[in-house]
Amino acid sequence: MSEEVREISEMKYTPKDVVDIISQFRNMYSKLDSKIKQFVRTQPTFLNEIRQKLKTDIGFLSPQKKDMALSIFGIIITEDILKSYEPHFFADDISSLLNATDKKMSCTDDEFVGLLASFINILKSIKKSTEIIIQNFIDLRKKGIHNDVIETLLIQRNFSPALSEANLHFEVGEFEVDMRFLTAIFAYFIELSLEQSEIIESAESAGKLYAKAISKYPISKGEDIFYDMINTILIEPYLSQLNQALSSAVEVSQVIQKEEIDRFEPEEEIATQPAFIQGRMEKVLRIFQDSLSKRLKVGKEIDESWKMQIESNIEMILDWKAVNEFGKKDLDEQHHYLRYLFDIWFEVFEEYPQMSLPIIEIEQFTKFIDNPEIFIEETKKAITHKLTSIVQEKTKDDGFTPRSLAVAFTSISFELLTNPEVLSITFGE
Amino acid sequence: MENENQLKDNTLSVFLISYPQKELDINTQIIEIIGGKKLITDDTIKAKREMDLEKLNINNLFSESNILFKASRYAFVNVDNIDEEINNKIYVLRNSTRDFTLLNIIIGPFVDLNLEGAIGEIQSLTQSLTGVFRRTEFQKESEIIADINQKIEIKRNLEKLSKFYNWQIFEEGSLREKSEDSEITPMITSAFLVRAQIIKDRMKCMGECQRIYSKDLTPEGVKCECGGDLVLIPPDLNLEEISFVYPEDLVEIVGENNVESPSRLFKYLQKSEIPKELLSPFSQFSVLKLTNLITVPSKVKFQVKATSDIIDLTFGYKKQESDEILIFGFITDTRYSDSRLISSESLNKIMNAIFANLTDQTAWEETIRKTDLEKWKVTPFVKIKYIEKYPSLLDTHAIEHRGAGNE
Ligand SMILES: [Zn+2]
Repeated sequence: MSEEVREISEMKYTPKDVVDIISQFRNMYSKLDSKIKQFVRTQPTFLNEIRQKLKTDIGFLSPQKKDMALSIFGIIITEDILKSYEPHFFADDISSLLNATDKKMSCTDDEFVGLLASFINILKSIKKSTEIIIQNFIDLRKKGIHNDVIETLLIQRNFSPALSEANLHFEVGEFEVDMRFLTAIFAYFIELSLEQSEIIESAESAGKLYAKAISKYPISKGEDIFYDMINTILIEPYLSQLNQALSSAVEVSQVIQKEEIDRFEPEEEIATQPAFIQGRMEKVLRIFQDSLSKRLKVGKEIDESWKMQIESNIEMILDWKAVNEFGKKDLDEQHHYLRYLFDIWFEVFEEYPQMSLPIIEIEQFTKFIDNPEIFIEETKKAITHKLTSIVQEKTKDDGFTPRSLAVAFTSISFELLTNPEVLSITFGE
Repeated sequence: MENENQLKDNTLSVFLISYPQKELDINTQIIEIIGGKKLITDDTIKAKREMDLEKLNINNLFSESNILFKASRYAFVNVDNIDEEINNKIYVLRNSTRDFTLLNIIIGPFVDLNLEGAIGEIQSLTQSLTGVFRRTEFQKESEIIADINQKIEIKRNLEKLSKFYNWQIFEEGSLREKSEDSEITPMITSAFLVRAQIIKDRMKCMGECQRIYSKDLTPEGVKCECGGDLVLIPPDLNLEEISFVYPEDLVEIVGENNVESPSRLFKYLQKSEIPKELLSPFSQFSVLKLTNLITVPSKVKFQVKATSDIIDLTFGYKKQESDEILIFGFITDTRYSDSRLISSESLNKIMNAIFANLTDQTAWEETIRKTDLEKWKVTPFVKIKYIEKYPSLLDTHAIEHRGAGNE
């Protein structure tokens, strides 16, 4: 059973939460204007060089927008968002971006900044998701699943959710974008990876690939076309080339996998435990999500069965983590249990940052709202310190046993969950 | 692995699709039989059965209203041998969009298809095919492709998508979990017991007229008057009498407008039965031995169109001596959360008590008194042909005062 949890989760692409995408857009948008101005001020030589190179390619832009666009190119290069990005490719892509969003004829400078913000985020996002999907593809091939099934699985569980995510990057800026443009960016990153494996000589620009996609596929909007469009623009043209490119990776990792299995065979039971822990952890997170989104909001009280479920799952995870690390339960050195408990706690906070609110200083509240993930990462030490003293108070004479810690964890979580401040904030809904 | 292949080879998965051919004002149908290597031994049989199925009017099966049929599971009962355990189950899943109606029928020896999960997959599969439809429709209008290419493309994509669907059922197992956690725990709103008569030995014309002949009216020989071949069809149930069980305050709980009349409650049961016209083509797969088997619903899922709430029917049955069967069922609903209703979490316990105590029709009320529904009202048995006569559940109690005759 634990094995299944692992397998299923590995083979699909899990898109980012819409809240993250919104904050990513806001962040980028609010900084971009000053970033552009700064770039114009500090990098005049770079800008002039590029301007000379792209004289004709970006002739369709007004002088003001030309500066903005060229600075964005500079930012993409200097901030290492793309390692190698040809200036001509960039010109193609910007022109396609305006076509795909219907902004070629009229676009205010403000809208243009928004578009560029979405564009940078999209490049980051699609680059990352293409990498993940290619890795999933390798894993799927290792499992020896039938090709037809792999193709459909790649579309339905990988490219489709990744494409939805990509589209969100525009939606949050209130732009409507041609789906074929987004798909063409996926094609671009696939071509880049084929270029690296020397299967093709050189990748074409996303802009060129967009033009190809338009001639191949006549419809531009609607979620119902995802399957068919991805099949036409990504799977049919690239799958066999990807197969070719990855065949060595599949073979090598099959060898490694076999070696790993040989090495771990005698301790088979232990090797399966992390998946078990992961499965339990997912259960705990689900219970929290349930409580945050449903029970508390409609005013229902958390009942005893909720507490029992959390307690028993936490106790089990603590025991398993001990077995996993030391090969036995009932550790004498009890501080390990506390360490495990904090691993769990931060996993919960990562998912539901608002739960950490009552334990942080009130002055830091705005910093928290700005970017909860980063804030938690930064204040991990302080939170740990504060929680440790609360846990100590709760466990008192019992010491840190899986049982006492599970009980303490549950009662503290309950207090955090019912805190009115926590309930007033929604993340990830 | 070997077990999974066994299961796959013994399971039939069939897709029926209907979509409009706009310029001609008719519907195109696509039938696809997948798997079942042990059941379909050669391609001509497969082609023949696909032709049988193509005669069905797919849009009319489980037709739409404000309550949508989503998914169901049926068990089989041998008419001649009560105690014989039949491994096969039949699952029906349905989804329709503006353009498409899609039915998936699975017959196989496993009980744990996760209906909720399978509905989700069927919805995603239908959506994908609508995309292919929309694209090819566009290409037809620009005269890039012809009608027949559209059908070929949809069929080709259906083949691919259904392979993935079957893989999730048989190999990955992700659609085969026992637990069907839904977000909200539904409440039992009512229960019922139906007495049904088994009708068997009927013949059906497979030719033009599709007529059904009862045992004593079957013409001599093996041909119908129209010249078509006659075949034996599966036994059927004639629903005769029904009694309802409901909480006294039902009207108050669900609100004046939502309270179900006897005939409306009965509609759920009627819609839960597997349509005869759907079953008879399957009886042509002789290995399934459907001509000896009654198909009894065990779980049916409906969705309230306006709010996406779920109405579930859960059934059990007791076969009686002679050609009679008692079917009891429970309606659970996510729309209500009143504490005077009983949570569906008690359903298994109640079902078990009924299995254990229900001997015949007369023991119904007494059996209910031994369950968590003990305080609920039990109506007298109403003849189904007169069910329209009772505007409310309360009206049925008048039968008690007037005696047995409820005409
Ligand atoms: Zn006939």
